[in-house]
Amino acid sequence: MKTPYLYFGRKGYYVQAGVAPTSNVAALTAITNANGGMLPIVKANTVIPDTYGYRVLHRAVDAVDDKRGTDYTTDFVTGELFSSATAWGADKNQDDIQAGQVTHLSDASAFIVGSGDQVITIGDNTATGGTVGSDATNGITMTTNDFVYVEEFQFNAGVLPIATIGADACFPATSLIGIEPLGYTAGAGLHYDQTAVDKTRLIFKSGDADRTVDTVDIIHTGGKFKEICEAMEDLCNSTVYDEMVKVHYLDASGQKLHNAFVSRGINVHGVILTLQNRA
Amino acid sequence: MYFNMADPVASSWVDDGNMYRSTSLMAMNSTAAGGATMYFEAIHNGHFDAPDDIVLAVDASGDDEADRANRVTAMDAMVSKANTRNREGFVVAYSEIENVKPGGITGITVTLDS
Repeated sequence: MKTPYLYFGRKGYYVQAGVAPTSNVAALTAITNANGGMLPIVKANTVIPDTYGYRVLHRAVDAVDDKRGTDYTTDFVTGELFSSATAWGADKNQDDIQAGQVTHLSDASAFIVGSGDQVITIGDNTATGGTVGSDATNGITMTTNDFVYVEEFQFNAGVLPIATIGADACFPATSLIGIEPLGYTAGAGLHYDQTAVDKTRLIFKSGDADRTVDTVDIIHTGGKFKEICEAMEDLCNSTVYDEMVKVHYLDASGQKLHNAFVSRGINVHGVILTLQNRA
Repeated sequence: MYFNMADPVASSWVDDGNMYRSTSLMAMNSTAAGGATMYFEAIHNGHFDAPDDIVLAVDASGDDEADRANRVTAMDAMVSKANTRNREGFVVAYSEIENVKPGGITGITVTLDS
């Protein structure tokens, strides 16, 4: 019996509430394959984050003055100047944070990542800098109502795994057991652009041969569970037999998502692979 | 799907030649730089607690992106083999003897569940 084979590459996506700085730094919870689908490698404060294929974004919920590094001049989502009185409806400087603003922490000294612990530590925007070495130009001082997003956007050795178990997976379509809608509550259930986010689990008969399952968790545009089921039904009934059907993966140029998803208005923010007991 | 990983003149054939129904191919994934693994139901021992593994070796001398692409190409080739129907005989997925090495695969390593 011929069957399509479905290929998934992981994509890291991690969201958590803001952390108030202690001694001028705010350490996030450790990112794991389970909670974020990625393992960022150690990063010193001399490395530009984007060169590692991921970005850290701050979405403000609270409006606070003088809490953002002055290197950050424009909103990552809208492109509006932070200093624009027209856009933000107030006479503000670019270091003043207003609710809804998204800051891309793109400076080398904005944050560091520990060796082997996947803990992102963000420096505040005071002159003292703390262990991160941030200052008034590149740090940010969060509140606990804000949110931090860590988003992988490119296949890059700066975020693991890239070649070991958990990096990708291929299953015969006949192994698809079911699809389960899951809630996604991190970030108040919102992407950094404030669109709704949901998570859907694809459940496959495990490649391990034991009586267990492998799962592919897709974090995606909210309210699209039915459309994902339709897309998977399309792919499973396709007649592509001479190569894998590439459902989702990252390569060096960015994200690749099958048109069965794109055409249904589904954006994929993250893909987490859980493969049982591979030896 | 028939696999041969070594010249039998220089080997004992133990683990060197294997055949599986393509429907026994349960999954594939990357397992190392220059390596992807196929997992088959371990039909030889009649129980189901772990798979038989066939590791596909590919060139990893390039950069990470080239390595990724080589692994994907190797898995693509095995999908094509798994979906090939040959009514005149079995499908040779990989063979050192016959020099059938699709998808840039340079070698295989077979590990049977025990």
